[in-house]
Amino acid sequence: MAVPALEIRRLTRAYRLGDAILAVLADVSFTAGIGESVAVVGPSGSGKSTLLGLIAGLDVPDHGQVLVEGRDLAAMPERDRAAWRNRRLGVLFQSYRLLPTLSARENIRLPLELSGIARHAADLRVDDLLARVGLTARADHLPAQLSGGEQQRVALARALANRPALVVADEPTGNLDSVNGAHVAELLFATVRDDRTTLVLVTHDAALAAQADRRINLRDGRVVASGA
Amino acid sequence: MIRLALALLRRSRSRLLLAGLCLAVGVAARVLVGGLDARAEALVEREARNLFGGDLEVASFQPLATAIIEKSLPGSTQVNTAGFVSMAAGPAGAARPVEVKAVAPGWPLAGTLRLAADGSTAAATVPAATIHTAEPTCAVEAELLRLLALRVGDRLRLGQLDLRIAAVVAAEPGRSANPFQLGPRVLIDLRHLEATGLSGLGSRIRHQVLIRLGPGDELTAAATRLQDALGIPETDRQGDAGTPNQGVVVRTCRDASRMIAESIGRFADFLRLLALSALVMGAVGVGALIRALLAEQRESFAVLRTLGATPAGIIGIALIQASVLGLIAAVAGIVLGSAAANAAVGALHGLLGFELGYGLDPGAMLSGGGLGLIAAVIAAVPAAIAAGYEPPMAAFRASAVGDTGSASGRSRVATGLWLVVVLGLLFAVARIETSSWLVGGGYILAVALSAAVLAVLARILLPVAAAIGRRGPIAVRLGLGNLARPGYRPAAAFAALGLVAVVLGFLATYRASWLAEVDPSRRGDLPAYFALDVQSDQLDTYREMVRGLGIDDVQFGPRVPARLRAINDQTAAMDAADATTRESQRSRTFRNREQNLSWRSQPGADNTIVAGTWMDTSATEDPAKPVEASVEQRWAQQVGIGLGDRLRFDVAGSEVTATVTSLRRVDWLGFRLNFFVLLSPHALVGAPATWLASIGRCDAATKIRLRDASAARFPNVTLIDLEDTGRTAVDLIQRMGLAIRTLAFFALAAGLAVVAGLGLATAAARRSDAALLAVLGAGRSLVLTALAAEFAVLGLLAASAGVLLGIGTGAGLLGFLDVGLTVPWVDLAVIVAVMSATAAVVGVLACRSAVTAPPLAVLREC
Repeated sequence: MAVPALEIRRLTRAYRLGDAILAVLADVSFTAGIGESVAVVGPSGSGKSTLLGLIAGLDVPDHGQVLVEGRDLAAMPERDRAAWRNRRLGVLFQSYRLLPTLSARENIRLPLELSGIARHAADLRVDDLLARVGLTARADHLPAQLSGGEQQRVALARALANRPALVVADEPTGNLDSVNGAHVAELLFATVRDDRTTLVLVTHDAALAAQADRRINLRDGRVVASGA
Repeated sequence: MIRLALALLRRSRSRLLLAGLCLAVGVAARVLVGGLDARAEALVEREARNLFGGDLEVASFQPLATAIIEKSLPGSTQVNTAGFVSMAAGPAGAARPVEVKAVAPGWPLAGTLRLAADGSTAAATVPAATIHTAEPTCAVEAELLRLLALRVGDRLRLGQLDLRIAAVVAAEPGRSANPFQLGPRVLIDLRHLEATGLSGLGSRIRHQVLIRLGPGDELTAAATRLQDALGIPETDRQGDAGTPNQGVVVRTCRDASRMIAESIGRFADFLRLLALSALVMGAVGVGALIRALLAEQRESFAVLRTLGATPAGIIGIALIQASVLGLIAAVAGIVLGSAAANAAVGALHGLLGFELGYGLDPGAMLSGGGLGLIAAVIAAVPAAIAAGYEPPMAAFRASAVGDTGSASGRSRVATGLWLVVVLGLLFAVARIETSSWLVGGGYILAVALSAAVLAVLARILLPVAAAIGRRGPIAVRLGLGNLARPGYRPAAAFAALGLVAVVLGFLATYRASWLAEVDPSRRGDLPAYFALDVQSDQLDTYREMVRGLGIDDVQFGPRVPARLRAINDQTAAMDAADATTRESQRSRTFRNREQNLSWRSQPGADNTIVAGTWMDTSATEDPAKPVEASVEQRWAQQVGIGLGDRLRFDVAGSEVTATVTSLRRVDWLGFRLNFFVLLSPHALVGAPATWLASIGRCDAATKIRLRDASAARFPNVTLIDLEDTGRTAVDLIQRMGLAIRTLAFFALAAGLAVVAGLGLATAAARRSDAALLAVLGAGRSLVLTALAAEFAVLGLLAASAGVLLGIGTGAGLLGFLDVGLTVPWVDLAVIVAVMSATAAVVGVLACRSAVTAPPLAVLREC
């Protein structure tokens, strides 16, 4: 039996707020196969962002496991987790999060450089990604010189730079107008489908969620519904 | 409004404290300097009698009759003393110049003479009567024992008299705190003066009568009464102006204390400017931090605007917050500065001629704290105006961290006006701090020019560094990229660090240049000695003695004491009341003191005629021939004369009037015989003259032989060893350097606080970047390296630019003073390296949250 790209097992995470304990995630489990796209939907405060942080290895659960390609993220040393994030994970944020002092090309090349890929190979990969997101002509512009939609396309290219096995996207169209949002969504789904990359997408947008292979509804930190 | 202003500050305590620290360092420096100065002045005022040894003195180069004094000051007590410079020799013949004071029993009349049994001056228990014995004895300063390898009990030869060294002088009233003394002190009994053979005709013995007034006698009135009785003309009653001419001078303990206070004050002025510099750096930092503080509150301000607050109201809130910050800085600075002042009193124990005493200085505390408070409010004005006039919708839309948005037209105009006001205020403060328009104006010009140049350089160098960094490794690229990042405003930190480097570069260059000029170990061209008080009838034999030792380079110059009576028939002497600035005090000193006139056939190798023509020296026989004067240009500037002016001198009771026909520039640091005023030779025929001699360089053994032979054959001639003088000057420069370095440290601390402020002001954005890098798989080392690279390069560029400007400033001042420029490249490289390294450390520490904050928490809050 093939190992799923992502397996969430009985994940629990709570935070202490003064004397009170706030349970953000409680006993959440699901899997995502290779090349599968999963949309996590739910109201504000349902635990979506916490779940995404745990999947990205930026936080460790109180109980349960996040298994990526069969490996428990929490059990990895921090150095290995960082290496995994660099090579096997792509992250897309609602607010793009490009480094403002780097050009579009340099932002995309960042994960490649961090993984130590040779300059020439990195340049070829960056050129390919720029072409795929339609920004070849804007490659040397700084983020401040790009529109919101363009910035998010750069962020998408950066997320895909190291050909990750898993992409997590947090409201990737939340800051964009409908035209740009649709364009970014189309690019996102097309590229993960073409590369057989697993996608976990957090969104409020029902139309966007509908494009995913599967949807998981979270409410008060629990999975209340799951289905295609 | 105050409550609202304080409430808005609740979330920014660390930034507020750091901003307070920026200024507190400057306030502390000001309190430290002001406190020490005020304490010294108060002590000098309070202890004037004890420091002087009595209430007033009458001095003359002729022996004084005390009957007239007793008659004018009934009920007073008098004691006679005599002072002169001579050579003192040990039993082996080795000799040194000393300052001899011959005193009658009963001296001093105030204060305490402390004598010790050995070199340990701490146990000063020997009675003063030890030197008043039938057997010729003396007490000497420990320095003389060291120089001549003597001990208490050994013999010391003074002229023709052998004295037994009976004690070591530990403290002596009346001994000036002037570090430039011609030799260590030798105290002898006045009865033995004649036996030395040094008090004969032509000697330069200053005879003094020290007086303690009777009960109820007022000092100024008594001095005036005495001057009237002695027939001293009004123009000669400037007793603090120096030595008497042929006449008699009356000097009060207040005159003497004023001179000490003025010399302390001149150095304190310089230190005050350094403290002001630290305050300016702090204000730059506060300006940057206030901007960041207000940027954090922009949404709150926008809400207030939507609720009806006016721009003026917002500006008011911002300025109240700045005042809170200023108060914190003032209190912290006062505490720190007062502690430092008392620590300095402890450190200075035994080093000065007096003890300053511990305590608090309300004046210095108030002025230092007040300056800090004002600086905080003024520094906050541009940011407050920008916050007040920012459209609320722009604030709501803004998301960039630390960016206060672009300034509106009105705020630009207001900021321009603010800059003019700041420059004016700074000028006024510098003028008050230094009591000098010239120094105050020069300082403000140097600061304004340096700041302007640094601002321009920041706009050029930082983007260039960022562009160069793009070719480097990823950490360097990220770090250096921040130097050109919109909203980060590293230019303020660049300017503050740059200004610190200007100060350090200037001080290092200035110090090195002076050391190169006076350090005998670096001067191969210094004459061996200056000989003072060679009598006219000794000229030939003295020259023969020197040449007999194989030294051919010996040059003599006549010295005729005189007083400047009038300039263009106007009285030359200035009253103390008219000398309110440092410039006028200096001018008064130059006009009122004894002048040394001379003559020569040619201007001399170290002299350049800069205006007019050299005098006609061909005919010296015709007394009707007009008298010409050639004066040194700085002397002319200080006295306030130029070509064509008529100078009337009193030379031994005769009037000599000369017209200035040339101005000379003199290379004083050539250490050759030179004089401020040269007159036509025929004008000084018959005037009482002694001769100075410059004796050229020779080997060490010859030098000692010459010194000992001179002391044995010409006991009235004093030899000044220029190597010793140079070493004294080097020692003085080093000691002053300690005080200057301490203040420079304050300035550096203020500059580094500004760097920390930059780090804190941009910490949120840096955390966000670091969190993103963590998501992309970067380790902490990359973030740390990027931060270190950014701040190190910022420090490197600012320090390099500042140091170069400091060299330029130093070169300008040194050129003005005719001192050669010596650039201490190694010292400056160390300064740059240390500043760069400390900027990196401080910057990384200020931004440590970028490394320590959990990425997920950061991503959530952004």
